[in-house]
Amino acid sequence: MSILKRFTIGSIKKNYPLAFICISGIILSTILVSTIVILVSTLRQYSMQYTYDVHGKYDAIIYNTNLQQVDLDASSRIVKVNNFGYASYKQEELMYINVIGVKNDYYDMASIDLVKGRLPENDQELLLPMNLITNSNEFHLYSTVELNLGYRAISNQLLTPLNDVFEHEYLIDEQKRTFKIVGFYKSSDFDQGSVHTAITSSYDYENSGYLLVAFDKNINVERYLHKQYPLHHFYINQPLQNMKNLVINDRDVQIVLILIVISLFVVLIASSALIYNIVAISYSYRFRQYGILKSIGTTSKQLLESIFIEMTLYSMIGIAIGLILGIFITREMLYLTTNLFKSILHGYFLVSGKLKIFVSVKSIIFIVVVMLIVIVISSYIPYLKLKRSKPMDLIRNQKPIKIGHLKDQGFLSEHLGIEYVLAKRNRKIDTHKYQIAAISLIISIVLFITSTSLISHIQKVNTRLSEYYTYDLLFMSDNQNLEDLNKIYQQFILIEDIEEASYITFSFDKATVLTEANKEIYVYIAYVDDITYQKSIVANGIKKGDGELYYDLAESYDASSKKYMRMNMLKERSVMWISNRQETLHLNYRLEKPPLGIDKFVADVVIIRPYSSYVKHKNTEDIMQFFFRSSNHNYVYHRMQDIALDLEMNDVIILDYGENLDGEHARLNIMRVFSFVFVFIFSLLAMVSIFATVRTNILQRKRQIAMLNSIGISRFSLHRMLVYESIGLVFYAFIIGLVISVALSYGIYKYVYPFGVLPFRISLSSIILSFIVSLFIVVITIYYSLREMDKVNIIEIIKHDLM
Amino acid sequence: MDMIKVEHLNKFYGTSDNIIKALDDVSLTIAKGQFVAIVGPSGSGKSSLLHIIGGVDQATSGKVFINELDITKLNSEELAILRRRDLGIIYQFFNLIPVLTVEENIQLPTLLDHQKIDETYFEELISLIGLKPRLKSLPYQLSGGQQQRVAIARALMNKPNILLCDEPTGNLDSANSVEIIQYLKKTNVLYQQTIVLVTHDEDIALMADRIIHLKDGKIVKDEVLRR
Repeated sequence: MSILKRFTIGSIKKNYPLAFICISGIILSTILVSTIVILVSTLRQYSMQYTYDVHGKYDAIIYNTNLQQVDLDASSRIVKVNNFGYASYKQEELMYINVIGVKNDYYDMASIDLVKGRLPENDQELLLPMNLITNSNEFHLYSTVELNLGYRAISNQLLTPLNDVFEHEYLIDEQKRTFKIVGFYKSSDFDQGSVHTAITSSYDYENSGYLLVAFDKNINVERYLHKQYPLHHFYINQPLQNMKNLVINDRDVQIVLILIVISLFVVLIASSALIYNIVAISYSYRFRQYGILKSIGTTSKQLLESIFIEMTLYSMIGIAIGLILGIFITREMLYLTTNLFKSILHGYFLVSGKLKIFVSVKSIIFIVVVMLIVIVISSYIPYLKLKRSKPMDLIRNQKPIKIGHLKDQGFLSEHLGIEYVLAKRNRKIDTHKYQIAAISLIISIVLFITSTSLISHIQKVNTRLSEYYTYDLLFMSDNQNLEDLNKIYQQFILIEDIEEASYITFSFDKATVLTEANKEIYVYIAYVDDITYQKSIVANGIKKGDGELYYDLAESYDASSKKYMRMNMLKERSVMWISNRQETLHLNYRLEKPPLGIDKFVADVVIIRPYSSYVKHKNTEDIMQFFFRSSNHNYVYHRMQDIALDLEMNDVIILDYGENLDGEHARLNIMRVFSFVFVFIFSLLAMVSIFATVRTNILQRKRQIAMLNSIGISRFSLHRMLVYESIGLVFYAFIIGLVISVALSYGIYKYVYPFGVLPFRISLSSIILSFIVSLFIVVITIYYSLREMDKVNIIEIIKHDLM
Repeated sequence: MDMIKVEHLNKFYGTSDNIIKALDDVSLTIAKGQFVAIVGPSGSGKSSLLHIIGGVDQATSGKVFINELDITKLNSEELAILRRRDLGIIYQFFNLIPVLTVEENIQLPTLLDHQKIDETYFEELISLIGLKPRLKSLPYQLSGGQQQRVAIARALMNKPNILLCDEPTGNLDSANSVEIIQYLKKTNVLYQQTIVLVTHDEDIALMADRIIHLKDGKIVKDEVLRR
């Protein structure tokens, strides 16, 4: 082993606490970087899988072509589809069914999601899209359907499903075919226009039809196909292209990505600062040794070699442990938040399957490379300083003190004694080291205050949101046939997990308030089912006499009190005239608790009547809606969909407000988990950094401590000196952290809530808590440092000087 | 009256196989106001003896009395107070606090004791060491001799009964060395302090009232030059 290697390993052994701190710093930094990278790659993988599930795995569909005409890249996958032709099915408007014949590979490539029935097994059977059920009453499961199939053409040009329906288009080569409907599938992306795709099983591919192609290479599919086949029509699977090319249009996803990028940036800055600090400390502790080495002729290259050996050793251990811990922590975080993530993603994708950690070789390489770059930069800067220093300066290892450092004759200096003066001057002289320790602390404080403020804000917005809804599921339909509605309502209320239900027919009218200078307002007259109406009377403690029940809902934001105030549009006992109905209404009973289904989104004033009194008036488009409160909105939502399907009720809308609220709660909880983990790791980083700084300062000031000891400084006074130094550090970091937090929180608030649902507020409790936590970190550091300081032996130092 | 009394003092280093006896059953007494020089070759135990008397090092066995107080029974805090109030220690390498000015370095023992500065005495001290114009300077701005004068003034600041000097001239040229000893003699006369000076320089030792010769941890000669 070369003398230099022996020197390096000897130095590491001698300074093993510093080596330990350095490795800890690398571990923590690697954990942070790997957590972010693995999380991003997991979410990307999950989104990719979702895109495959929902939008299919093909990049494009090439219409009206055959295999001879295409010359695609050998690595591409191709699925052949027979085109049996088109049949028009709706008389009032021209709409087509395009029957295609496929083999089993099509179902996987196009991600066909069977809703009802089964897949076709021969070319006499047909699978129809769900759109057909909602658009027409002609198609029923296991019934037969006769289709007049031909090819769409206009001016002797064949058309494709992509072409709009032209007024003068016609079908050619028509022939009758009879199929048995064996199933329905969830309609595909390419199936949303006037042409719906019906699927049969075909075994006689005629080299003509459609081709579904998937490219293994990441290319611009649209540009490639247009260049290669300018005469063909294509359907591009845009969601998949967006996912592959990282095109993000969703604002929420954009926000999440921006936050991830910012987090990664902050993590890298903090990690660099920490590693730089520890490496600089490690070098400065050995300045004297390096000075001696330089003075006896060691070259800068040899010094660099020594540093390289040391940092390679630290990196190998630190990155390996950090990566393993990072994967473990991410896995646990995902385990904790997997359902929450799914709730959030549910808004965008109907997600199925588990959110499993995805660690690719690429992401591991990325993490290792990023960490190595951070380590190399962080250790090279202190090396440059070492390289430029003269041997004697390194041997002396004493920083020049400027007279400016002495200007501290103030109130605190007078009252806190010589210990404070010493602490302040020591800190001023080592400002650089303290600044780096402070950066980690500042990042922890900023992250904590900002995230808790944002979380508390979102929580308040959510609470506000949940106040608006008295129900979690809403059902409405274009079909306002009372018999049909009653049939489906009776089945709905039998669904287990429904806690409360109501039906309301809303009628919208303009009213003149006779008791308030004939002012005109808009009102809803809500005909609530009689049971709910009676419940409402009881719940509001009303002894019903003559007059109407009403709910005065309108609210507005009052800037002075910073609260939402009920506007109270109407005074007590108002009288109004509704000309459309030729009725005078006496509003005698104002409800404080509205019946299920009346919420703050409805209108300004709602008049509540029992459904038994409902009479339809001319010029009103009354709609009946059902409202439900359930203990499991997901289950109820799907059951309601099934019931509507079974009853073949078309054009229904079921809104799951519970899902929205769940999504909001999930978003909040994910933020909580992630901010907790990040704040925790950053706090550890800050602790390591402060440890390193304070400990090294003590090591470097051993002589000063020994001198003070020899002239009789008490242990208490020494401790005080150190406490003042540490408090100064926390105070400095806290003030800067607070200013940045307020600015950052305000920026995020303005970006996330541009219209300010609630006023901007910074969480006071998080400020206090962050100060306490910072102090706690410092107290631990002080405790550790005091132990170190107590070990300082005066005689050893004096002997060292004599040597 | 004995200001310092040492009884059967032993200081051993190393393990039983390879034991080094820095002090081997040393006993001595030093009277109040006496200026004693301890001389001996390197490794004779003179610095060890001084450090143990100064309470900055611990003896393996034996007793040390300062003004009839057995300091071997004191804990570290009591020793710190003793060093601060009753002892002044001067080292070869001055050991000034680099971040404090000359003035602050001198006043440090009083400031650490949270006492008020006796301005008259302070003026007297700085006149004695002749550093009035350099009070606001930092240690690194002074020469070696000047730094040692600051160290002497600091050691005298709390009017200690005993001044312990560990090779105070070891890092100085001969002119500065003589000057420093002159200062020590002056304070010895002025403030009636007991001074114990460790040196390997025979000429410096001859300026003391009494010379104790140490060799291999034992007192080999104890001569009184003047009373």
